[in-house]
Amino acid sequence: MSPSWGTLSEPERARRRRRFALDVAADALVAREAPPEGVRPPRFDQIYEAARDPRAALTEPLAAALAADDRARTAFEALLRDGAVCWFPVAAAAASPTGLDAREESGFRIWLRPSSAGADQVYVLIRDREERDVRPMAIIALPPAGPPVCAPLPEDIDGVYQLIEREDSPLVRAIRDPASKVALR
Amino acid sequence: MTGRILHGADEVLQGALWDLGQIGDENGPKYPDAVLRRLAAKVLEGRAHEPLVFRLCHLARAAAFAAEEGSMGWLEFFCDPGAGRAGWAAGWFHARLPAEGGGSSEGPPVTRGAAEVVLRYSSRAEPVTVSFGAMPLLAAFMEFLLNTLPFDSLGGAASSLSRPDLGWRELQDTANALSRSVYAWLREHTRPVQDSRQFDVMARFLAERGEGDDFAIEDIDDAAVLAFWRGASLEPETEFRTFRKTFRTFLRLAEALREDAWREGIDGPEVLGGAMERAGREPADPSSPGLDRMRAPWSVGDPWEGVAEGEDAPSPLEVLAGSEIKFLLASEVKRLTLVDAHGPFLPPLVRSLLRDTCFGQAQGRISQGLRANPAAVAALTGAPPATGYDEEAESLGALMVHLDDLMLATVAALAAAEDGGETVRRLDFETLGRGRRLLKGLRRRGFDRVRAGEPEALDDLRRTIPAMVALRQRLAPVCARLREGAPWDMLQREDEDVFAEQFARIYGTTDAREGGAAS
Repeated sequence: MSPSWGTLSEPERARRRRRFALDVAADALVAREAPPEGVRPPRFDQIYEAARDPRAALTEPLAAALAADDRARTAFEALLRDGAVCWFPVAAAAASPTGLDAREESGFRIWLRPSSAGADQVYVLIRDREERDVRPMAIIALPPAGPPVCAPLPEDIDGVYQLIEREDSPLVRAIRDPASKVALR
Repeated sequence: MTGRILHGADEVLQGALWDLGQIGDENGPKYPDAVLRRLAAKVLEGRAHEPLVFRLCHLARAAAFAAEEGSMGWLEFFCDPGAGRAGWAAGWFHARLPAEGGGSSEGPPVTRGAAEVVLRYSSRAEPVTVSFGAMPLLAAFMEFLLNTLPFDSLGGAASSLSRPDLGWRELQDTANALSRSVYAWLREHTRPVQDSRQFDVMARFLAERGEGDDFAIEDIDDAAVLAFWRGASLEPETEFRTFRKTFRTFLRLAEALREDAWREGIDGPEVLGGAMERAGREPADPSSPGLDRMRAPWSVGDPWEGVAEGEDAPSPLEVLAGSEIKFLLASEVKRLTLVDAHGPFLPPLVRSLLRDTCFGQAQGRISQGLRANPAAVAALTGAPPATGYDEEAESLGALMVHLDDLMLATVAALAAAEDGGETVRRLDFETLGRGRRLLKGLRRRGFDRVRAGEPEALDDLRRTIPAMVALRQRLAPVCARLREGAPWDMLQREDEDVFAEQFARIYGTTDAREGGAAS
């Protein structure tokens, strides 16, 4: 027979009450059926996948969340930098008023070239000057403000990856902006 | 604090715990509910996170050593969808770390044993171990921290932990710094859990039913649970609307009332901002009581003796469900959840267990129906449960047989590998022969590897033996009571009347059937 409630000392009762309250609270917090109200920041596993998985897409909601949440953006940038095939930090100020036309880092060169097909289109060209075991599969640009931009890379032709973009696309604007950081993932 | 406080947690903390439950892939959630529940208890319970932080630092160091190159390689372990299962963690470290060669102070900084990783620090003679069984909780804790603390603080800590020549004092410093960050975050987002309204209502009810306005754990019986629910479920704004919630809260009350040795460590838990902090105590002092409780309970002694219970030890069902060998199907895990969590309290409450399973499910359907099609609810309140009492009792009995079969098959597998210790050596030929036949017939995932004698599969088997034994020990008395009470059909019919009447009262339907009081 266990001791009855009436025979317990006051500290014992308090301890058991607290134990009960804690158990019930833990049950309730884990068993809840709906998320708490309000905007949820992006989860770390989502950030990790977007930054590290070469084939992962950067979804629009996640990109928007990264723009809005400093903590998440810092984590995304750190993961991207650590795992990138090549990382282009903030560049020196551009000589041209339209911004940078090219960036170079660790054997990679990214440059922009107007397209003959249309005045509002430009080629984004990426050349890899070195033989590597790992090839980039996407380009990700982190502008100083606003959502990051990600574009998958096609197969290279003779070491050159070629994308065609609108002149005013977020990717082109980010590459031109010296304050942006760029990763080849 | 942000938003509405619920059970000691503000909305940010509620959201962080919710987020952990949402992580997963096509194979299901990354972390089992039991792991998340233990983590929730840790973060709510004053400074209970401190020993956890210390163990987490050891695991982060082990993961950094085992991972591929890169300063953030340690995240490979924690961010993998398998990290919520001990069996996956064991396989991951087995594939990446050298085997432990024994000895106390010599050898590589991080190695792996059969059931744990082993870490050596300069300036400390004794190695430290982190069991594979403890890893799902630690991985969930790390992911909780990755979702809440600034990434720089965790990345910086992990970076210093990955240094090969790390000394014990440096490990302590890193753990203490991380613990302070956790402490500061929790202090911002938690309040002491002191709400005892539910306790008071239940205690008052039991005292009124008991002798001399007093009560003991033995007063929590089937009749008391049902009678309480019949009254409390009708109160406005009640927290006891469902039988399932009521029964499970009574089980928590029974736990709180039980004299329990392993609860002694939480006597007067220190609240955040308490006297210890004011006295300048280092938060993650490795001599903290409770640190040893994180060790694998099955790493010492005879595994066939079962799991030594401990506050931080994974439950037997968690161990079995977390194995790479498919001992239990998802439906079997679900059926055993209450037995696993509350086994010692269930034998006198087997009728409530049957009510919980059969009518709890029915009440869940009514609640869903209320949201989807209120007009159809009247038909649901009087409907018999989808599962009958006898059927449920038989299913639990079949699981007992299944656990017995698993143990015999395990014996046969270990005997074939000339392993298993004294318990296996004592077995007769007939038992071993039966075990061999059972092993041959098991068609679930992973048993082909066991039959082939793969060392990792046998290691997995050895790690899970105590859990099998412990789960069987919890289930056996429940099944015995169910057999004693069989057949259950008469009692089920009595209960059908009672529940139909009560559902009609709760949900305001008009076709209530009259029914007598069941016990």
